[in-house]
Parts: sequence; structure tokens; C-alpha cells
Amino acid sequence: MTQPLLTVENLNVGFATKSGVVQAATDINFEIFPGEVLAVVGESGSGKSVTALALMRLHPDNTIVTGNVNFDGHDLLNMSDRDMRAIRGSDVAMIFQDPMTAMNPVFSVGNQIVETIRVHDSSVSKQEAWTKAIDLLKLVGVPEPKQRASQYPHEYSGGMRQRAMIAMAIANDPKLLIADEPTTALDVTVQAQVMEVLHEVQAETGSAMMLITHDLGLVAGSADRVQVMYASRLMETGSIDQIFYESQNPYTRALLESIPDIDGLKEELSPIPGNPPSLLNPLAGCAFRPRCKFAKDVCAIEVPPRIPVGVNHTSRCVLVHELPAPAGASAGDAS
Amino acid sequence: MYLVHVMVSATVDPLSEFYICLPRCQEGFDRIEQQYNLDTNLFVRPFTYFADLLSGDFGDSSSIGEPVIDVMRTRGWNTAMVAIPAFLLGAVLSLLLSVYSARRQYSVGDYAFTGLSFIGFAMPSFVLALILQVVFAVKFEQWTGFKPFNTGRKTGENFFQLLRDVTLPATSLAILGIAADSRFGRSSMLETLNQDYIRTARAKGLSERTVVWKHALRNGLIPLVTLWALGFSGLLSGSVVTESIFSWPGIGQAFLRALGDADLDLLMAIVMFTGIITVAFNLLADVLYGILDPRIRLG
Amino acid sequence: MADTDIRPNSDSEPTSTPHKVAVADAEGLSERPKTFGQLARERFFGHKLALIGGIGLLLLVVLFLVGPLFSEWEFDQRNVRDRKQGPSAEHWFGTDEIGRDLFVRTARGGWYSMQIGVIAAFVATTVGTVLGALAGYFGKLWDIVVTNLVNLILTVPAIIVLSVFANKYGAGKWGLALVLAGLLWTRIARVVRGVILSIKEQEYIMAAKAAGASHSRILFRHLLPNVMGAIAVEITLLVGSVIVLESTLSFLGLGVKPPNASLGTLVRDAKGDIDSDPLRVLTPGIFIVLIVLCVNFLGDGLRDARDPRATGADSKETQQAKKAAKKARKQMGKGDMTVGQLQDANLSQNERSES
Repeated sequence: MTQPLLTVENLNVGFATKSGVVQAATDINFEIFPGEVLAVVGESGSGKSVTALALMRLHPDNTIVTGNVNFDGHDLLNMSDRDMRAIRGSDVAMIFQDPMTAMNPVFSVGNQIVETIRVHDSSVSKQEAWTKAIDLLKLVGVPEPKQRASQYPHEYSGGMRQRAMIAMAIANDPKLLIADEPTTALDVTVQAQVMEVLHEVQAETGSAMMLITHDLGLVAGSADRVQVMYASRLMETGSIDQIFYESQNPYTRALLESIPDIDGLKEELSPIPGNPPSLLNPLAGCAFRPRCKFAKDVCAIEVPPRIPVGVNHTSRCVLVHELPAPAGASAGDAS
Repeated sequence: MYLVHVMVSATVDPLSEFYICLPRCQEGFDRIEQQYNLDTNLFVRPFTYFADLLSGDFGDSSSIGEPVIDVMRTRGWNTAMVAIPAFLLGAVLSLLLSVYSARRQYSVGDYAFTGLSFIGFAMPSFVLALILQVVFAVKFEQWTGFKPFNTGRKTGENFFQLLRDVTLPATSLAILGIAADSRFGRSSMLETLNQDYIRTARAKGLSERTVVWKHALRNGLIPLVTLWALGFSGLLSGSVVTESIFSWPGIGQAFLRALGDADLDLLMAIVMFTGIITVAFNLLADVLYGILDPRIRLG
Repeated sequence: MADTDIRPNSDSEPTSTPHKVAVADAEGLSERPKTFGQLARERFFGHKLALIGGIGLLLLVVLFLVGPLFSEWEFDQRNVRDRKQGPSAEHWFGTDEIGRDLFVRTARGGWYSMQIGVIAAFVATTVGTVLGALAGYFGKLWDIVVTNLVNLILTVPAIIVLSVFANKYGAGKWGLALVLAGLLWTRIARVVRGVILSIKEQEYIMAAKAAGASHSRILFRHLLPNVMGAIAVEITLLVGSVIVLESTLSFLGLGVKPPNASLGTLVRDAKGDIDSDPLRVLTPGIFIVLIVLCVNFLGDGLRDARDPRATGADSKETQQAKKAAKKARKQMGKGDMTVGQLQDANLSQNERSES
């Protein structure tokens, strides 16, 4: 059994806002092993991005983070800023959602990649770094990398920009890649391409990846393990097969069911009724209860604990043993 | 095109105006009339004027008694002597202030500076200049028997004396500039610091200093720089008020004298000069924006 | 809604102290008082300013109008015996070189300046709004003419032009106000034009047109109210500018001329004695600053009330608006969405940013 690369224990992230404290992530516990792809799935507001940002200590200042994060032997939350900066961009790299705003418009793309390289290894000369930047761009599939490197972000198309972001992220061979909704801002056709690139890059460099998304479709083709989040908590975690075919959590199932079936001939869409709850005034008991079709009175008493339902498979639901067998596979291939 | 418009309209008005306000006796009246071609049609006069211009004749200044060109030159330099330090001082300080205020938002310092800039904004230039004059020149002397800064009159020729003379007027101008610019700069920097790419820069592991001074500044300064360009043009045009208070022989002061004495040639020259400078710096501001922001460059 | 008050995580290089993190204890997440205090301070600042400005202005007006009633002296009553006195029980602000009571003069001068400010602002606003609206709404020729006119006026340095015109026409209240307005309407026009241009293409305007509304109806009923909000701020700034410009011109001798007096002329009168009686020089100046400050505070308060993003926060209305918009979009239904996006729409997500 290899050691996990990243261990997150009891992570809690809260924001201090005008109206009170908002618990954006509650009681998060998970591990990522070297080389594996963990998908974190949930709607907006479920807490998935917040978790990632907290890991990298990139959260805004009015955030309160407690818990334990261990990366490769380092205590991320408590280390000094200088040490943290050494890790950011080299051992752990992050890819953000909107590549247009994520890159500085006044510097060339090549320059920004070079910056990443040189800030972590000052012995590299500008020339060498520039060459490496061009190689990276080639690796991620940016056409004519030599010319493109001197261009500015606004001269790239959306898909290319995200590829450039990926290039920037892998420049220093990170052990962990965190991709925060990498395709959400892109056109549908481009999404597949970028996921391809991400996939290849991850396979080639052997880095682990934390793929954050709300799109279950993306997950199916890329991830080894999945964790589903809702209203700041982990709802279900398991391997990809377990989640897709043997889900023991009503929320996960509802998500799966709501995916429109392009191949089959389902007549109606099955959305999940209702709205996600306010994180400001959390309900007592299970957060999903108002929208859950299996809900019973017992669900309202307290927040359900995570219950193991299989090998490395847990679900946060008190009704795990009373749920009917899950429906057959609903999500097709990742496209 | 603009220049022509400006010139023609400017030409028309002073002329008619002064025509009326010259109740001299007939002799003088005729003389003036001849000198300025006042007997010709109002709208024709500009042409004679420009014709003269082209041949290098700017006319003579009746209020100062020298050829206009000389007047413009010497006074132009004087004004620049005040304008350039004022600009440099103002630009550097407003930059620092903007960054500081944006980074330490809501701190005591931030509030203090915001308050000060509010006041600076509300203060007419002459009030500020007078305050400075009172405090530093008059009172200082009374309290300490010392006269560190001249009340601005241009007394000395060598560098240090000039420094003394220039300090007060330059500071006065600089403060006003800072008040206006730093509010703008602060909000520009704030907005920049909130951008996603700043977060990315941090995610790459850059030090905070690099993030702010390299990434944020480069973006946040762009609008500020254009403000500077426009401001500098104003400074160069000669701050009429400041020069008058400190008795600084620059273009602004010359303008006032010309106005008071109905010195048409000088007036025209000054108005033209300032017009050209303003237009030129406006253009410069646009060009600068294009250079600094690559997004604009390619249209 | 999370208040994303993004400031850098650390400005310095700490040696060993961990940064803003408490270890282990998941319970008892105490609120960080600093953040709340700052949030409160920010709101305080925003609203309070306008209040201070408004009250200040009122006080000043009262002082200017009512003050002289309490004094026994007249505006230009001379008591040459008593000239050049400092403040005393008889003459609250002292007297000037020909024995006129300074308090009364200051009060009247202040009122005069304010009048000019209001008149100029009014004229400028009217002209600016009309021209800006014409340019924005009808476009084409109107736009070309007006825009070029605006640019022309803006190009020329203000003082120069103003000086020339003010000297000739600006001796009295109305003349000066008109001259100033003649320059400043451009600011209003620009804003109005911009607002109208941006609203013009919105659907409710087209709907009104489709329903057969006439141009003037559209203008007055739909467009102008929106414009009003936008220019309210500009108007206050305008008044401030007018007062500053007027006093500057008067100070130079180009604006208000005797027998009228404004704060600017008072400063001018006092300038000669700057060595012996600096207070006399500064007092009118201070009043000018006070007036303009109050006006600016009002303007700032107005601006924050309309668009708190200027201070970097989302108002309640903005938040609610965002939520409502999201809901409406969901109900409208979209065409080509990915699986993920469709899921989200179906799940009726709350609009809350995650970072």
C-alpha cells in the first residue's frame, strides 16, 4: 500500500461575511495517491473550489481554515509563506476555470510560462526557460508554438488559452495538479479537446490530479476515484465504478439520473427539484433532505455520518441499507 | 482641424472684447487699431495673423515690451522648471500612495489618505498655494527667523537657489495632482488586485512583492498613466493661479498680464501654445495607452 | 454571499508564525473581529459621508443666510475708524482695510458663490442633458455635431478659455454662471449620451416602440429616469467644480467684480496683507473648501448608494438581482448545453461564487 500523496483531515473552511459565518466546506477528509485522478463533483456552492483553494492557501483573507493538510510530508496549512510559495507552482499546480481572466493580459504567454519556471529555479537562464516554454506549448498541442509564445493571451482562442494554462501548470513537473473546472468556460466542442490534453499530460507526467467539476460526463472518462460534494460536505466517495454503478447515496443517484440520455429515449428530464440550501443557515439534519425522494423523518435529526458501504466506498446517508438497487449505468462515455 | 477651430474662435473673441475695452483717446486708439489690424473685418484678421506667423513674426508683447517669441521662450522655460519637478513628484507619490492604499485597504493609513485626498480635491489651487505660502514662507520666518523657501520669486540663477525658489510652487502643484490621481489610482489598483490573474500569479508561487509590483502595477497603472499625460499638459500650460501667487515669471503669469493689458499678440501666442500642448498630450495619452495595453494595440 | 475581500495572504515574510490558521479545533470558529470591524467601518464610511455632507451644507447655508441677520453690520458699511481689526466681539471676523465687517462679507460672499454654483449647475445640466440625449438617441448627425463640440471644448485648457470669457462677461452672478456652464455642460452631455446609448438598445425600449410610443414619450418616460440616476453624481461634482472655478477666477480678478463679492474676491482683497493677517486670507479659502467638501461628500454618498462596487462590495440589491437573474435564466431554458450545464440548470443552483 503506497503512501498517499495528499492527506486532508477535518478540513473546515468558513467565510466571515456581513451576514454571518458561512461554512463553505465542512468536515472534509480525503486522500489522493500518487498518479491517481480524483474527481470532485458538485454544484456551484457545494464547496469544491473552496476546498482546493484552501489547500493551496489561495483563499481570500476573510476565510477561516482549520484542519490538517499533509502533502508529501509537509504540513501545508501551517508552514511559512515562503515554504508554501516554494511548493506552489512546482509541486502543486493549479489550473483555473476561466483562462482569459486567469492570465495577465499585458505579458506574453511565453513570458508567463518562463516566469513560472524561473521563479522556482533561478539557475535556469531566460533562453533555456523560453525554449522550455515553447516545448511545453508544443506538448499541450498549441500550434506554431514558437510564434505563439510571443503572443498575448487575448490573441489565443479559448481552448488554446486553457492549454497554455496547462502548460504553465506542468512546467515544473508537479506531483499534484489541481484543475478547477478547467472546461466550464469553454465551448462544448473544445471541452473534449482540452480534457484530452489534460488526460495525456497527466498520464505522461505521472502526476496526481484533483479534477473539480460539476459535469459528471467529464468525470466518467478521466477519473479513478470520485467524491461528490453537496452543501459543503462530502456526500459519497468511491471508485468510479462504484459511484456510477453502485451508488448508495440519494444525491449522487439524483445527479446521475438527471443527466439527459442522448442515446436512449427518455421522454422527460428528471431534474432534482428544489434549490441547494443556504449555507448561512444550515438546516438541522441532512442537507439534502428537502429534495431527497427517499427522505424519512430520521434524516432530520442530525447530519448523517459517513458510512462505509463497500471497499473504500462511503456514503453520507442514514438510509444506505434501505435504498433500492441503483439504476443501470446512465452516463455514457465522456465526450 | 481642431487647432484651426480653436484658433479661429479664440481669435475672434479677444479681439472683439478688447476692441470694446479700449477707451483710449483717439490717437492711441488709431495706433492700436493699426497694430492689430482692427480696422479690418473680424473674420479676416485671423488670416493676416497667421500669415505673419508663418513668416515667423509673432508680434511684440505690449505688456512686457519684448518680442513675443522671446517672452514665450523665457517664460516657457520658467514654467517648465516648476512643472517638471511638480510632475515627477506628483507621479511618484501618487503611484506609491495608490499601491499602498489598495493593498492596505481599510487601514488607518488608507482612510487618512483618502480623507486628505478628498480635501485636496475640494481645494482650489489658490487656497492650497496660499496655505503653503503662509505656513512655509511667512510663518516659518516668523517662528524661526529662517527663510528656507522663497515665496517663489525667481531670485537665483544657480541650482540651489533655484531649488529653493521652485520648491513651494512645485509642491503646491504636486499636491493637487496627487489628490486627484491617487483616488483614481487606488480604485484602479484595487480592481486590478481583484483580478483572477493575480490569483494565478500567487498560485505559481510568486512572492507577494512580485505579484504586486510586477503583475498588478503593470495593469493598474495604465489608466493612471494617461491621467498623468493629461495632467502634465496642464502643468506645462502654466498654472495661472500658482504662478501668480508665487510671483513666478512663467507662462501663466504672462497670460494674466496679457489679459489685463489687452496684449493681443501675446495672448494669441499663449492660447495657441497651450492649445497645441493640450492636443499633443491628449494624443500622447492615447498612444501610451496603446503601448501599455497590448489588447488595444491590435484593435 | 461571501465577501470576497481579496487581499494578499501575506505582505511580509514571516519567520515561523503560521498565517491565519488555527489548528485542530473544528468547533468554535470564532468570527475574526477585524474583518467585521472593517466591514462595518466601510458601510459607516459610505453612508455617513453623504450625511455629513448634507448636514454640513445645510449648516453652511444657514450660516450664510441667517448669520448676517444677527450682526448689526451691513455688507458694505464702512467704518474707517475700525479698519484692519482682528476678530472681536463687535466684528466677529474682524474688518477689512476699509472697515467693512468681514463676517458679513464672508457670509454674503459664501452665499454668492453658492448661488453661482447652483445656477451654473442647473444650466449646464439642462443643456448637457438635452444635447447629450439628442446625440445619444437620434445619433447620426446630432451625434457627430455634439460629440465634436464636446471634444473641442474639452480640448482647450479650461482656465485659459474661462479667463477670456469671464473677464468680459463675468462680472455678475448670471454672467459668470453662464460662462461656467458654457464649459461644463460637456461633462453632463457625455454621461447622458453614454447612458442613453447603452440603454437604447435594450428590449423594453424596443417594446415601447413596438407599442407605438412616440419619441418624446420614450425619452421622458423610459430613458430619462435612468439618466437621472447617473448624472446625479455628476451634478454634485459639477457644483463643486463651479465653485472652485468661480473662486479661482474671482481670485484672479477675472470673475466676480466689485461691488459684488464672492469668497474668491475676499481672498483677493486679503492677499496684500498676507504677512500681517494671514488668517484673513485663509478664512474665505477654508469656507470654499468646506462647501466643496460637503458637496463632494454628497456626491460620493450618492455614488456609493447607486454603485457600491466603487468601494468594492456588493450591495444587497446586487445580490438579490443576481439570484433573480439566475432563476429567470433557468426558466427560460437554453439550447445547446453540455450535460453538466443542463444538470446545473435543472438543479436550480444558487448563485454563489466559490472562491
